Amino acid sequence: MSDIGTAQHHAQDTELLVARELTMRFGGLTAVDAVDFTVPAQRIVSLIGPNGAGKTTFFNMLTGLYHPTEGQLTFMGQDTFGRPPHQIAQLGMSRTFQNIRLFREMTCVDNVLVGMHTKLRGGFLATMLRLPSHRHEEREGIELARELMRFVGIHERHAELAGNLPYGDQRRLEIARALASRPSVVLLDEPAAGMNPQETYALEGLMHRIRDELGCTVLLIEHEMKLVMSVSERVTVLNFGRKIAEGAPQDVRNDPAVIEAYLGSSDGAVVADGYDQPTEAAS
Amino acid sequence: MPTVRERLGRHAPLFVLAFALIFPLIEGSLGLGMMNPLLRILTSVMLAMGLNIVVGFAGLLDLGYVAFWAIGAYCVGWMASGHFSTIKVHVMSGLPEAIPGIHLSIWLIFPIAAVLTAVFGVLLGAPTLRLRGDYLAIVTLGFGEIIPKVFQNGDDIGGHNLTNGTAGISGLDAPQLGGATGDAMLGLGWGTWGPLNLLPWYYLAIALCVLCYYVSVTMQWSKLGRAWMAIREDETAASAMGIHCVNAKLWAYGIGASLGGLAGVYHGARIGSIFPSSFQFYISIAVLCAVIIGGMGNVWGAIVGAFVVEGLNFWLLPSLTSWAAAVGLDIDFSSWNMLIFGVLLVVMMLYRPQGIFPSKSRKLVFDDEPGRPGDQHYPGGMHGPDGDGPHTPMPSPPGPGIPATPGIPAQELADVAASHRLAPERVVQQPAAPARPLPASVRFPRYGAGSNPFDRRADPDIEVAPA
Ligand SMILES: Nc1ncnc2c1ncn2[C@@H]1O[C@H](COP(=O)(O)OP(=O)(O)OP(=O)(O)O)[C@@H](O)[C@H]1O
Ligand SMILES: [Mg+2]
Repeated sequence: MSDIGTAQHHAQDTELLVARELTMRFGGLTAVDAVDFTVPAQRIVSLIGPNGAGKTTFFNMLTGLYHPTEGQLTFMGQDTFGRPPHQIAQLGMSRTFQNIRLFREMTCVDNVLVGMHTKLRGGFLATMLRLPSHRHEEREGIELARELMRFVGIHERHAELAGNLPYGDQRRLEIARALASRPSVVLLDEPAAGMNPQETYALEGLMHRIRDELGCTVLLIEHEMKLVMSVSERVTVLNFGRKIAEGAPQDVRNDPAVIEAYLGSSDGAVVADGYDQPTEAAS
Repeated sequence: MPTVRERLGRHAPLFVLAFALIFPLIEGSLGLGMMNPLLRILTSVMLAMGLNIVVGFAGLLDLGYVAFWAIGAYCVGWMASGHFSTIKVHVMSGLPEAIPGIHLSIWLIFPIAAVLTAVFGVLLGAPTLRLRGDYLAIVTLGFGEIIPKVFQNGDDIGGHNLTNGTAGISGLDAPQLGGATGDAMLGLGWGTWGPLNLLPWYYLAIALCVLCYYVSVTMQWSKLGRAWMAIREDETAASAMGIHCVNAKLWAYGIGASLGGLAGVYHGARIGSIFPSSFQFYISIAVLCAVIIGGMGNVWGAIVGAFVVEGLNFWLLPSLTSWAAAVGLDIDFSSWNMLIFGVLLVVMMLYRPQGIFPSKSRKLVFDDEPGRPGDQHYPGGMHGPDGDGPHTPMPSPPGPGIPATPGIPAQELADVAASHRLAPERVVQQPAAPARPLPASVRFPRYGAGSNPFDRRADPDIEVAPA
């Protein structure tokens, strides 16, 4: 069990992803303003901030959905600034979306198989001639897809259309789909949104398993502060596109700048809305 | 064990094929006179399957599909006729060498035309890649209009007569199969393909339909086919999954076009002459209607849709007309086809918008379906962090409660209860299930666990996060 909440960001960690002065402007609006950010290997790090702070925009730049206006971006030792999303995915970055973007008219298994796209060979001739290599690959892919669905706990739903799943299961399926490419970093954009407390709790366990069993870094955007504080090894706070704080969860939650960003004044606490009991769950 | 119904369902294509193979016997003995319209309908079946790849699978609304049919037809026009009379090229044509023009065996023209139309599919698709929805439809509509116009005006391209203009290309070689000796084979008269001997044409059409079906179904459940469907569903998410959307779309255009090209070669060779006026916008629409009525994205839907739409056009309405004439009525039902079509479409869209056969997802049958013994290790899948300390499974109280995920400490359960405004005892602690992680042996088909440099488990030298 990792000691949640106290793990420091070790200097000797391999930095999978390094963003320097990353900036995104939409016309006159600077959604992300010269943010420095690194993602260490095999950690759970979070990105928080009030609505409209630029978190999703930041994810979109990392994954190539937006072409950043300025800055530098390195992932897995390669310059990924302005590269198209499919190339960045190929390098081992994978994500979920704030407003779930499943392939709704496809089954759950097929959704996960699409997530496996970069890892399947699927040669044209092998497919056309249905060579044994192709059939073998498909079979293994389906097996792995089921394993992943089991991993996130929706295995009994493999044959259903993704669009027919309940909301919480759709979020989990999105995670399974993201994990299917066996990424080095998985970006989760508000995975707990719309989940009930049990699901949120289970999500915390799932994130630990993603890190520990799959050896994958989790980069999390979340508004559910309790989850963020208990699961993260490092928290970065954005406000109006600027990075205002970064560090261990309890340092960040007591940072006056953060408190001000969330409450508009410094006489409250981030955790004031019912989360004032520090989590003692993890020993 | 699959049920009888499932087994029948799985073999349905074979039953249909068997019926198709013996159909000429039935038709001949009943004297239905359906052969000629049927050959035209089967051509549309091929076209519908090809268009289904572009529209149904990849979601690219193509209103100019007739272009590829035309290109296929002109391929056979150029390569199996005396059109280019200044040169003499004979490849397995079975004709006297002295005859001018390019004369290739039709069995060579099929693959050549398939490749050529695929190239055209990619070329015409490339400019539309950034377009979506209505814009895409308009541009493809333009291409569908331009290509026949090019053929119509192609009789003087820099002084060369490429297409012989509105007069078209006629006098196409009849296909040969084993030459004159083919006549002896099966007594079917394979040596003499022509308007009087439709049987070889029929079986060729069935063979091409089987080919189109095979290509469609094989592609559908492959990496590429899934990529198409992902693009159809959500292009942004697809690209984030590592799909090269541009390439995948071009493949869809290419493969869809080549099936259309095959149908074009077949049609041109069967009719024996090619006129630019026969490649009208209406044909694109009829094939698109077939795909929509049948059920977009479903191969059987495309087949049945083509039978419905073109059966109406080429068999039912003409038959109605002649039956009416037989009882002394002078009604030309064929001229009503657009009206009937329109009504059919409106009715379909009102009562069954997903088509006759809605795009059905593949049914995977596993021998260890959930609920069966051997799969009871995963009641919830996700579970709380390990090492939360021991907890005693509590007996579930009766009445509605919230089943909590196993492994939740008592404090958390109380929180859950509070957040749901429930009495604490209403939140049920389920007995903990043994956790089973994703086995380390799970590998990707090509990349073993060790090939990811950042997979810490693969490299014992790298310090693993405190566990
Ligand atoms: N494509 C776009 N075009 C113009 N403005 C945009 C675009 N995407 C985001 N923005 C703006 O950038 C700002 C940051 O948005 P973003 O979605 O990144 O916020 P967020 O931190 O994810 O907020 P939330 O917590 O509500 O998800 C917002 O003001 C938003 O309106
Ligand atoms: Mg957001």
